Amino acid sequence: MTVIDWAVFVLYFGSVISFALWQSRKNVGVEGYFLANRRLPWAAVGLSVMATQASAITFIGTTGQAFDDGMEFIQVYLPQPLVMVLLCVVFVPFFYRAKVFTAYEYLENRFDAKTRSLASFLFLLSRGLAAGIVLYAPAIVLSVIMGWDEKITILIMGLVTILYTMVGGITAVIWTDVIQMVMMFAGIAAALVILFGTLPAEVGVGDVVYIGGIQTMWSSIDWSWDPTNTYTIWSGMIGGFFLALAYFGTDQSQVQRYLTAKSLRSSRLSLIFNAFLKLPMQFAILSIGVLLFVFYHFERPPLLFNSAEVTMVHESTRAAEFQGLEMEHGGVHSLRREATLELLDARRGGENLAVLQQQIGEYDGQLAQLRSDAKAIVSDVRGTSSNDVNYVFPSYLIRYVPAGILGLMIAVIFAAAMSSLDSELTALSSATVIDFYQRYFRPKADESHYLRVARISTFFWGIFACGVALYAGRLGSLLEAVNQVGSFFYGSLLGVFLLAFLVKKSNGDGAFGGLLAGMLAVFTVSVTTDVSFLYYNVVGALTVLAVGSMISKLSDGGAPTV
Amino acid sequence: MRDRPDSDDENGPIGIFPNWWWLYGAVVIYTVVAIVLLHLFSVTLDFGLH
Repeated sequence: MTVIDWAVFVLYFGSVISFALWQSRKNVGVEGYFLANRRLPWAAVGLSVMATQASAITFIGTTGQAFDDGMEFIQVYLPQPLVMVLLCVVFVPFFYRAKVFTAYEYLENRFDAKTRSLASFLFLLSRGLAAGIVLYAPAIVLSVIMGWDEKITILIMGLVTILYTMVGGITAVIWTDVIQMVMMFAGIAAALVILFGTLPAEVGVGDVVYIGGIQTMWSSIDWSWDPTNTYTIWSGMIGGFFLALAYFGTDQSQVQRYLTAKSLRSSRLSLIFNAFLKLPMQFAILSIGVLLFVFYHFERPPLLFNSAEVTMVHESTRAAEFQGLEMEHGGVHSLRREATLELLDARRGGENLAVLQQQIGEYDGQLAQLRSDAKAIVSDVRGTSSNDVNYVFPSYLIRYVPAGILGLMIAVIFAAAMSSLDSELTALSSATVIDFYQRYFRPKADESHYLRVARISTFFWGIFACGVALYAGRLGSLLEAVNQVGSFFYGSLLGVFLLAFLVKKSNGDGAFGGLLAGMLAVFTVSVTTDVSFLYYNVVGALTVLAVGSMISKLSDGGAPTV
Repeated sequence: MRDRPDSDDENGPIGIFPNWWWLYGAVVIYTVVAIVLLHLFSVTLDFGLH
């Protein structure tokens, strides 16, 4: 980065954090720290909800995914507007009127302490480690692309986030999210403009659309019914629906956000805001990936974008084989470039395009195969699978984006990571303090005591996340295992809340037994079938509803209606 | 306890919508329109040889 880039970068973060801390001066007590005294405007809450979901890896990984596979990932987001409506109608009124600090606190009001504690514990287990990944994944990409030290990148990103989150609480988090989300919109728009600007002068918008269309990169809807395929309209609308409902309706990092709104009406508006904005945003991010695909028809891309992996392979026993692939890749790319330019000329002249299209399709297939072979070599040398998709967009930024804008774009990636991490920290801290410390250790301390513990807890979880991020490379399979465990209980946790809201006679025993049965059912499905992971949440939620209702019916009485 | 309806929230117009249910209906229509548009987008911009 040039001096101008650094200036933009430092100025941006300095002003964002100052503004957020200034906003948090009105916070009063522990309710101010965790819920901003329930006084924030809906637009700010809505942008924060969006920023929490959009992590840095969403931004850079999704573009890479579209570069490889096109727009089909958007199907996962299609049910999100409907989820927002269901949240507004069912979930939000219960949480808001119960005046709870955490989603799990509601479960004790409705069921019992053991259900609340188990739910909150599962949240802490999963999200504590996820916070480390939120930090690690973009830091490793930025360190490879920018040549920065990986550990220093993690520590800078982590410590700055801990500082403003610890001092300013949820208010600082939400206001930084607001600015960071606005910056992300600006970053997406800038990326689209720059991508068009870096295409050859003779290539117009119609040509870009056409080239993407030859390889069906714009194809967004797959109507085929195949439960093992992750990206179809059915897995999106069914599996994606339950996933989004579990995330927005039961995950404290999201529930906490809409509890900060100044009224029930504001909470709902913040979610409806997301219902309308999320799809266009995701569409734009994926379009960047497809535009990159088109762009690299004219500019020669590296065989793999992760330079660290390439260096590792070059120093291994498979270097010669990899270099052979690189040479072949260069040759096929040149042929495709010529054929593409020829095709565009033929298209303008109204000639028959079929032969050229077929030729380009064959080159595309060969290039995809070469990339796949290269990734296989990397996987073999590294011992873990290649994550090259995360490097496609940052690699473009560093090579083609002008000074000043580059600093801004890197700041946007930092912002995306930090706006997810800060939300995780406040959520982890609130669950620790409210669901465990206050509930079991010091039920009747004064406000200043809880506030102190809340700050210490935020600091602890921040340092924990940094620790996980610093050692994530070595933790490898352990983290994968924990992530899998997370997917086992996410749908089940949703089932517990649905049981609470929808089954009036359900009770604590039913909820607790249902939760365990739901996790067992998901585990069984995951090891005995090839069903896409998106359906795990459906299995978990429905099992909890069925088993929980049955146990509630069999056990004495039934809980009073809430 | 049973949740009581919050009159400020349940009643009254929401921007251009007469009440919440109209707004929710608009979101549902928006989703359907998005799916239809994406389908048309997929079909019309498919220039592959089949």
